[in-house]
Amino acid sequence: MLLTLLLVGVVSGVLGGLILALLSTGFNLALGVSRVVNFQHGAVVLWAMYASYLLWEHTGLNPYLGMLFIVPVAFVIGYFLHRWLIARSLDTPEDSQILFSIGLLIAFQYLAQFFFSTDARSLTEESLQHSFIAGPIFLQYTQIVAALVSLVVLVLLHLMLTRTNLGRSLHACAQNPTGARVAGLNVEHLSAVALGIAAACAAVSGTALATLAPIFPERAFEYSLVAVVVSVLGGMGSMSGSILGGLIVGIIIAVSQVTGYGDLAMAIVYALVFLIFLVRPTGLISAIKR
Amino acid sequence: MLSKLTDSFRQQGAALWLGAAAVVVVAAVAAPWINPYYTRVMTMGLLCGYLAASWNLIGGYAGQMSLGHALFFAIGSYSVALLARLQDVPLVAALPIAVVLSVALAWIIASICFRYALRGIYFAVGTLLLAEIARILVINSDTLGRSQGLQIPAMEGARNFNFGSDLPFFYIFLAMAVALALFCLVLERCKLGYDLVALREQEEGAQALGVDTNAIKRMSFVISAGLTSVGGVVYAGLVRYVEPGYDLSLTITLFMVMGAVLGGRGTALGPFLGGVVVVIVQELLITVGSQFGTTSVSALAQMIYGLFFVVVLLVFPRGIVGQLLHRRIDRKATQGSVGATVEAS
Repeated sequence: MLLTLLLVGVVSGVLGGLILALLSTGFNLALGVSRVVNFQHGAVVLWAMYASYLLWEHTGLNPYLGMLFIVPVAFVIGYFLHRWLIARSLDTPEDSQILFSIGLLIAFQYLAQFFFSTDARSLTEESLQHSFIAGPIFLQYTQIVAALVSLVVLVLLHLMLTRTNLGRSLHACAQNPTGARVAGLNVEHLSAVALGIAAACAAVSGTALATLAPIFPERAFEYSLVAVVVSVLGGMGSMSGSILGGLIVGIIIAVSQVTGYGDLAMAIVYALVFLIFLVRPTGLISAIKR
Repeated sequence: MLSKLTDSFRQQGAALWLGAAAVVVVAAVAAPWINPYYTRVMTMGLLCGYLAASWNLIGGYAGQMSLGHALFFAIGSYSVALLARLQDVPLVAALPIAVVLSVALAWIIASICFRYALRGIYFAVGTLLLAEIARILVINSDTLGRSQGLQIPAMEGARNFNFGSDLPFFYIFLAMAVALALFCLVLERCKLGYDLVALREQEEGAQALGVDTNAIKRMSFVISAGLTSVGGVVYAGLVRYVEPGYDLSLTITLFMVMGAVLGGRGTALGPFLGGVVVVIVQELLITVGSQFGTTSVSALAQMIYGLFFVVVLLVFPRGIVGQLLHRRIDRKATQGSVGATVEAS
C-alpha cells in the first residue's frame, strides 16, 4: 500500500516537477546571464495565470492556444522591464538589487489584487477534464498536458541555448560579460533578451499552473520563492540544475500530499534547501558533475 | 586636512543629533494635545523606526541582509498571546520570555549560518526560508491559532499593557526608540562598532586585521533579534491580536528593511527617520485612496508602496541620512585628499 502511494507520488511529482523546472529555468537564466536576482519572477507567473484565465473566460479559447498570445507579450514585457528598469538596479550593491526586485514583486502582486481582488479563480477547461487510470495510478489530463508542454518548452530552450548563435552569445555573457563585450556582443541587449526569455518561461509555466491550481494574488510570492528554492537546490545558473531541483521539489510535494502531510510539504522543501545552502551552496548538480 | 574633515564630520553628526533631540522633545510635549489619529500614526511610525533600527544592527552595521526578522517579531507577539491564556500571569512577563527565546534562537541560527559562511543573497534567502518554515508550522498548529491567529483579551492593569488609552504606547515606543538610538551612538564609538565597519567594508580585510568576523556577526544578529522581539511584545500589547499573515510575514520584515534602507543603512538615526516616513507614506496612500472610494484601496496602496521601494533604491541607494552624510564628505573629498573617502565609510 505504501509502495503504491509512493509510486503515485513519484509519478505525479515528476509531472509537477517539470513545470517547476521550467519555472525556475527562467529564473536561473536571468541569474546566470544578467546577474539579476529577479524575485518578480513569481509576479510574471501570476499575471500569466490571470491572462490565460481571462482569455479562456471571455473567448473560451483553450489555455494552451491562448499561451501562444501570452508568451510573446511576456517576452516583450520582460525585455523592456530589464532595459528600462532592472538594468538600472545593477549599479547598486547585490543586496539592494534583491530588495529592488522584491519591490517589483510587491507592486505587480498588489496590482493584480487591485484588479482581480483576493478571490480565488479556477480555470476549468472542458477538454482537459478527463483522467487517466492505470492500475493504482490516477492522473488528470491537465497534469499530463501541463507537464508535456513544459517538457517541450524545456527541450526547445535547451536546443536554443546549445545550437544557435543567440544561445552561444547568452553563454558568453554568462561566463564573462567583459569578454563578451570585447568580442563585440551587445551585453545590455542580451541581458534584456535573457530577462525576456525568463518572462516567457514564466508565462508558459503560469498557463500550465493556471489549469492545475486556483489563481489568487498571494501565489506570486509563493512562486518566486519556489523559483529561488528550485534553482538553489539544483544549482544556480545551470539549466540541468533547475530540472533536477524541479523534479526533487515536485516529488517531495507530491509524496507528502499523498501521504497526508501536504500542508507541511513546503516546510520540508524549505528545510531541505536550507541544509543544501549550508553544505553545498553551489547546488546538487555540481556534486553529480564532479 | 584629515583632522579638519573629521571635525566637520562630527559637527555634521552633532547637528543631526541635536535636530533629532529637538524633534523628540517637541513630539513628547505635543502628543497629548494633538488628534488621536496622528498620535496613532506617530506610534506606528516609532514602532517601525524602532524595528528598522533593530534590523539595522545586522542588516546595516554588519551588512548581512536578514530577511527572516519576522521570526523574532513573531516570537515577541506570540509569547504575549500565549501568556494571555494563563491566568494570574501579567503580560509584561512576556518580555523576558520573548527576549530569552529569540536570543537563544538567534544564537543558534547565527552560529549555523556564519559557521557555514552564508553571505549576501544566500544569507538573505536562507533567513527568509527559516521564517517561512516557521509560518507554515504556525499555520498548521492549533495551539498557535492556525492562520486565523490569536485574540488577546483585554485585561486590567498596566502590567497587562492596558493603560486606558493608546497614548502611553506612544511614550513607550518613544522611550524605546531614544534608548536604541543612544545605544547605536555608543556602539558606533566602541570597538564592536569599528569592527562592524571593517567587516561591512571587506570581510577578508577585517579578518586579516584580527577581527573575529563570525563572532561579531553573531553578536549583532543576536542583539538585533532580541530588540526585535521586544518590539513584537509591545506591538501585541497595543493591537491585542496576532496572526501569521502579518506578524510572521515578509511584509513585516520588509517594513524593517524599508525603514532602514530609506533612512540609511549603517547610520544610527537613519532607520528611525526612514521608519516614520514609511508609515506616513502608507497612511497617506490609504487616506488619499479612501477619498476616491475604491474598494480595493489597500491593494493599490500596497502597490504604490512597492514602487516607492523601487524608486527609493534607485534614487537614494544610501538612504536619506546616509546621502546627507555622504554628500558633505564627498564635497570635502573632492577638495581634499584620498583619505577623505576612507573617513566617509
